[in-house]
Amino acid sequence: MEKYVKQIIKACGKEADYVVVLKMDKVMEAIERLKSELKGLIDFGGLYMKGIFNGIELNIFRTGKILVKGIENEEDLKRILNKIFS
Amino acid sequence: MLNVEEIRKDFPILSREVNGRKLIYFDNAATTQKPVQVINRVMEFYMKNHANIHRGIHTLSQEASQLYEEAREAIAKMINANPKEIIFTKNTTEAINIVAYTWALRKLKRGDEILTSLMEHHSNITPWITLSQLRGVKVKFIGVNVDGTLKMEDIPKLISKRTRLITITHASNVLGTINDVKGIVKIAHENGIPVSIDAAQSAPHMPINVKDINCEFLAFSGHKMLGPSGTGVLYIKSEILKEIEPTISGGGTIKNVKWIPEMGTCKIDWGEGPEKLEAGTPNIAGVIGLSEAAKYLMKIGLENIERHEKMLVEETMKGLMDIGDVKIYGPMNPNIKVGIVAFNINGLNPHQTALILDQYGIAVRSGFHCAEPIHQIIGAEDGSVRASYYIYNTKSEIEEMLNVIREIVELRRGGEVR
Repeated sequence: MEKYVKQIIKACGKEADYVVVLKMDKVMEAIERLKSELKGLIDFGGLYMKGIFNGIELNIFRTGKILVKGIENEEDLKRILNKIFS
Repeated sequence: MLNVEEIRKDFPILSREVNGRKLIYFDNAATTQKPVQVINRVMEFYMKNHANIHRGIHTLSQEASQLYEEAREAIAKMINANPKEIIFTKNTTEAINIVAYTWALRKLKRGDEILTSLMEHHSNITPWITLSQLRGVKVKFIGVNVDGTLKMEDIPKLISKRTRLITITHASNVLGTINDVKGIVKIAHENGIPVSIDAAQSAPHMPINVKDINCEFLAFSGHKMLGPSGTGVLYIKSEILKEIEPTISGGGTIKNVKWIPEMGTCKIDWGEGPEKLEAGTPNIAGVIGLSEAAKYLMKIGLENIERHEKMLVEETMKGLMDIGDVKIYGPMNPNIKVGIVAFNINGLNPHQTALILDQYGIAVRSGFHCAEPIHQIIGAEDGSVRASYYIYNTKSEIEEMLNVIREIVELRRGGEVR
């Protein structure tokens, strides 16, 4: 995970949402990884992509930011990111 | 009329690119960008005049002290106060906390009541809830109508014989709603109640006259009005300031501290001016930068800024309504709003919208904007997207944002965005 992730930001809302910021030089590589790991991946007109990993929704933006929705806490998020990027 | 193109030349950051696009900065309710005049003033202070204030008799200290006190005069002029009524803080939050933990903590007793509203930023809720736990005072809340205006008619009903303070926002940081603070002060004073105003979203955007409003306290942030980060202001009416004793004390807050051997302790005589609430070395350079920001805004004219922002708000709301499938929150009349538009694209989480806009170099805020109760009231439990404007924003920037929103909505209509 450390290879790809630069920063994790907690975003406020009804559900616990997080924004994962990817390392600039690893964005393309990380997005390819995500595309291969996420289920039901849909590209929304080039605006963003959405897919599911272990029941958690991930929204991928071309800026290298990932909105992760409905996750309990940062530790769970890190566990998921470690699985995706391991 | 504002000459926005000329103004924009003063803001170096506006020429940078974000994500391959020209930056469009619509997060001014969080903090504003800084003009070269402010940046240079801070730099010049550090390069030519830097020393600690009010302590030294050497020339540099005198120069720094004079610049610091001139800043007090500039801020006082901006809100029509006496410079001795201006306390420099690090932001609005700290200013409100000073009201809570100096004035209110000493003044209020168990069973006393404080009246605030459901429209407040958390910074004008949490200090009072904490105070209620420390002092056993009760916090009551003025409601908000569905259209995002304050339930003014509730105020007389909520006032009791135990009401000791009304603390209210001048303009909502979510909806932009401007409250009739003069009217609230009138009702409060008829009942012998002092009023504290959170002017974080109003003072940078419209003319403020504390003598006309007649409030006892008024707080705002320097960093939201082109000033450096870590600067804020608390106005305290002189007769109230006289009776206040500091809670955070130390250097600069005292007249003298005398050792009384027979008592085995020290006796403190507090200072009389605003410096008694500015313990320790303040943010001198920041305050001097803030002074430059105040002069810059006064030169443009706060009434011109207000007019410009209302035009931008009107443009945004009209554009969003034309696109459709967008929920706009708060009053639809730009004349009772500061330069803030909160909205959601139907079916999209506010963070999704903000992250899409970010791809186009457009900076907006998403979420609760530190004001969760008002989101519950307006039925935006996931939060909202907030576009907030300032002197350097243009109609064409708004058009660019609307184009992206139109694209999202059209893709959604085609079933391509969920």
